[in-house]
Amino acid sequence: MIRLENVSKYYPTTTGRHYVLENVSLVIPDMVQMGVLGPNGAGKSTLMRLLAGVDVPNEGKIVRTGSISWPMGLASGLQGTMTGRENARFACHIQGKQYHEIDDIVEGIREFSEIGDYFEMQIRTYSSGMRARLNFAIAMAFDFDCYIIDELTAVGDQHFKEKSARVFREKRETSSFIKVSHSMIELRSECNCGLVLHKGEAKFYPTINMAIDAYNDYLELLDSSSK
Amino acid sequence: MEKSDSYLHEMKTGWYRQRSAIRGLVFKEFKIKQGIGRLGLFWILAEPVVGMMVISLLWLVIGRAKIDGVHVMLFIGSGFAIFNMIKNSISSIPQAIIANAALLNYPQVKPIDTLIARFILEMWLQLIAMFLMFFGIFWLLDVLPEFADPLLSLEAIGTALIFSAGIAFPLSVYGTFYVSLTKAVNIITSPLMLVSAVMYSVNDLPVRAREVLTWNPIVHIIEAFRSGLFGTKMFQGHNLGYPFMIGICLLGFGCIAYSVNRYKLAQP
Repeated sequence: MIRLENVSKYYPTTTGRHYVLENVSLVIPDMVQMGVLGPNGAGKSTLMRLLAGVDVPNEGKIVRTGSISWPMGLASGLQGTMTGRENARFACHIQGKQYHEIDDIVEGIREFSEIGDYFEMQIRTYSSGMRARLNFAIAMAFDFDCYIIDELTAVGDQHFKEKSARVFREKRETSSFIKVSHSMIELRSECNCGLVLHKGEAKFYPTINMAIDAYNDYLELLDSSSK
Repeated sequence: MEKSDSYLHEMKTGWYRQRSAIRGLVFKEFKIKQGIGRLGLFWILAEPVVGMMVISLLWLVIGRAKIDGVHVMLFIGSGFAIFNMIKNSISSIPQAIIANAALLNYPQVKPIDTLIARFILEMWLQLIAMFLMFFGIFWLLDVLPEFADPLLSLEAIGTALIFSAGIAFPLSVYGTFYVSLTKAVNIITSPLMLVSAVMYSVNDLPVRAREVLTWNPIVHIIEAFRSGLFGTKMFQGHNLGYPFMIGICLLGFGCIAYSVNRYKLAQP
């Protein structure tokens, strides 16, 4: 469970504070598959970083129970100058795995990611799809109570999408997911509740359809006001 | 169903987390150093040796084989060994946070872990390089330091470590925000070796120059290290407590600076 209590997060800009979240209080229960919706720049990635504990709110507090993954996104978590194998080993180290376990886990990551010889090459030579595969494979090698996924599945090819969907189905029996995506089809099929984020507000909806409807209403409002 | 973690338990997991993060980062830094090329590691270990050789040759060419009664290679080498430790804290360690920005995405990795990891690795490599250099000199020239006061040498190394950490810590915090600060400090300190008694003995200098030079805390560390190894006479007014206190003060300032900016440093 993750509970946000009066959380505010802002960035200083030349025109004053830009609020990403303003006085948000909500509870994300255990064992949910939550889709996070919001236009670009609404602060979805910032929210993911806050939930994972990478970033801290300016005001309020976030209470977490259980283990939570790092925010798995495209741009983050992989060091460009390290090879895929070294990145995998590093993740094992910081998850506190013992030495004798690490080789097995890394081998599992190599097989799961299906990037072949690139596993031994530096991350900066990877395409974004390959990064996504490796990032996903590393995260799925560990058991978390909650996985945080930030538009990770958007760039994969068909095969990778099917594979990740299969893993999600397996993992959802024991863990919860918080997922940022712009694909309504994906969210509708995989999530059972939703969160809509805009203009510093975050609203929790108990079903994903309600969340998508609310988001569409908001987009229509935006459309009509710009006409 | 909140976990009722006791404070002690949290502290234990906190410490455990940080230890694994630092261990992971040390391995990672080492791998990258190794990965610069097959000669990457060789150059780190050879750097003090090469510097020592060049300067020693200059002395030998002008016909001086001993400084303060010590073989010129040992004398210069000991100076380089300590100086390189301190130089690293200006040039390499302050880059740690920026170089590891991608890994700050893991909740377990805090900016300070990248600094500690790089500090541990750099200092170990410097100590190994120092040992290899002394071994090499002994092997080739059959001259050995006489270890007049080994404890004093160890004190000097300890002081060098604290002094280095004291420089590296605040410089890392502010160097991450203002990249030009690191550059400026690097440029300003580039003639530092000339005024740190690496290549000559303070005892050989005229009194006036000696007075000015003793303001430099690095001179005190290097002289103490040499005196411990070779039994050379230290200059008047030598005080190892001087660089030690400066190091402690800077370290304290660095801790405050980090603590104030710790969340800002973790921003992408």
